[in-house]
Amino acid sequence: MFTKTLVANRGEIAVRILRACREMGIATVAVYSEVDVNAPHVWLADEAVLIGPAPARESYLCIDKIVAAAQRHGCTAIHPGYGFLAENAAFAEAVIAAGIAFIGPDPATIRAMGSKTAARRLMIEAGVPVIPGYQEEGTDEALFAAAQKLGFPILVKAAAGGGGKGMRTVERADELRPALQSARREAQNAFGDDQLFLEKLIQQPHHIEFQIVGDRFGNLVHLFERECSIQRRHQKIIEETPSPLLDDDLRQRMGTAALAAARAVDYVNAGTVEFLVDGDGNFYFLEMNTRLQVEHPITELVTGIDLVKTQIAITAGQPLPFTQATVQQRGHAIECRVYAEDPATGFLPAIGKLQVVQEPVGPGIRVDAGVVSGDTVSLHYDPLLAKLSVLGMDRADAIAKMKQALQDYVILGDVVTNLAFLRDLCAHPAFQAGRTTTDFIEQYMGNWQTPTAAPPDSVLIAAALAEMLARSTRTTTQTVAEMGDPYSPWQHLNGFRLGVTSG
Amino acid sequence: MVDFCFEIDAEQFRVNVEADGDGYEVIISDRRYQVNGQLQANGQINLIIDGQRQRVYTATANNPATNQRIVWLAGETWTVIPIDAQAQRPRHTTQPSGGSLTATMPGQVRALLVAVGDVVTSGDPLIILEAMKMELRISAPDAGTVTKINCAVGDVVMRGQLLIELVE
Repeated sequence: MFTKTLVANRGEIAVRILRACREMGIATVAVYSEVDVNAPHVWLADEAVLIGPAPARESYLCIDKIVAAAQRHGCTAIHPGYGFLAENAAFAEAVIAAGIAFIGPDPATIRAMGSKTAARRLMIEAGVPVIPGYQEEGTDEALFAAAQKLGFPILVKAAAGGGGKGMRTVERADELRPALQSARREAQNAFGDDQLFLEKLIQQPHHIEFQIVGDRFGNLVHLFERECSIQRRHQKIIEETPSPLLDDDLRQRMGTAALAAARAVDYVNAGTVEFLVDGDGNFYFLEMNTRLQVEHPITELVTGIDLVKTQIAITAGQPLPFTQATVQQRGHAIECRVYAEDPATGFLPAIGKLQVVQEPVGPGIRVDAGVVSGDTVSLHYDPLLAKLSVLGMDRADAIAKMKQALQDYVILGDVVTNLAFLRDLCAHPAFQAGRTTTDFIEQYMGNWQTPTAAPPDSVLIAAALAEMLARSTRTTTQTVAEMGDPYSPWQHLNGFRLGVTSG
Repeated sequence: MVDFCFEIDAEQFRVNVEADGDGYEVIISDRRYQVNGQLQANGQINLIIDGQRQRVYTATANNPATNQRIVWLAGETWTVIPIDAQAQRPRHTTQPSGGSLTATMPGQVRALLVAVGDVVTSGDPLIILEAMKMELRISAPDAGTVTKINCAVGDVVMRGQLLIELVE
């Protein structure tokens, strides 16, 4: 087993991996950018290394700096998390060339699946169904001609893509050229590769993915599906398992296809095979993610398998401790992604300081958070604040638990969050009925607004008492004005009484 | 006795608070409440209003210019602007007429697609903003001529910042 591991990431996923390492008795090294000096992952690791200024291009995406830090600090393994360098084959190669283990699949696998067009070709060869599309030539002219042949609506996608970046839905021929232009620019910015391809748009699909894990001994197991259809801007915000769409037969056929896809690239370590499923139960390979997935907690909740520890064990040369016959789904798990964004204004990201963060607790509730009270959300990174996951006895129980947990989650400060939106989504009859298609939000939540009813008197009373306290502390505490931070006296006067309660 | 005026969703509310024995009497319009409150760590206030327990959280926004207080109650958050009785707080600054464009999200200016003097029609893309790897196109709301550009490629702009000015 490894003695010391560097985690080449930040936020909640860095925290998640650091915890797994600590539990396994592995020493840890975090890396951080200048704005992350006080981020939770920096304080959780045994050692932390500053690798550059805030922009990811100058810090979290710098292969040289990260490999050098790992060498300097005597790390024997590197975990890339997700995002940043997780699916960068050159990074995996650089890590291995430095004599350090890369916790993830082989660089050749990453490269094969990193190009969506190459992956499509491989899947066709392996007999895995793919969406009708065009990828032969990348010029605007060739794509334009192919689009006419395929027929609209059509999807423009980045060959190197992921997370909806460089992706555009095109309804009509005259929208195609501007869509190609902006998709190219976004793909170039996000992936350094502006190559595009086309896919026929599958109407009202479910986005369902299968978790797979493989070891060095040829054992390959799928850990069932994750239904990830609730998306905004092509990015998932709610995931659940089991999928309300799949019956045992379809689940088994898709699981078999997922294993065939993985076998086609001799997959080792944890990975995810994504499918689109139409209303008739036809499924199509979408892409394979050669890394830990954001939404991995729900698989962990229903299978009882720790995916990060499994990844580490596989990389250390251990065989899988389970087989397809021994793994099972128990109960129903849902994850909500809590974002610093405003659902009422098209999910525009918000930045600023988080004054108060109070996470929900209770049986079956898991919070993977990358921020704590007092942290600042900057515009440099993803606006994901936390992942809230629950495990219920069945789907209805899990939804009830999630609604309550969302209701109990307090995040106050300069940033707006999507908590109330998520809660209303979970309460929607269409969600409760399992009509989870990828157009769910446009279909059912498009006009969502924060409540406009008059505030309850309790809100006014709380505001008045809080103002009163703020005033009294301003006159009695000189330092408050000097510090210019109206929040600070609250910390000082912990337990200060406004009136006296019955105690 | 202390009088407060709060603005919530552009509506004003008056709240009167008077010390009353162990707690306070709070009057809102013609409604009277007996209130006890205890401040906990982390912005939490345990309120007892007419014998009913309610847990609320509150924080002040970091931006001192807006002077906002945020109140959380049962999963809803409310933005409360305290209005000083003596000095009326200035209202939201309204945009000058002629169609000016503000940043709808904080971000970095990726591309300027127009220059001063350009004539644009409604819907023309003017600026590409990028934040958290998301690209946002800012388009002309109306036809007009670009009179001023207040940002440059690479600038980090805040939400609400005036980026481009147009005259019709």
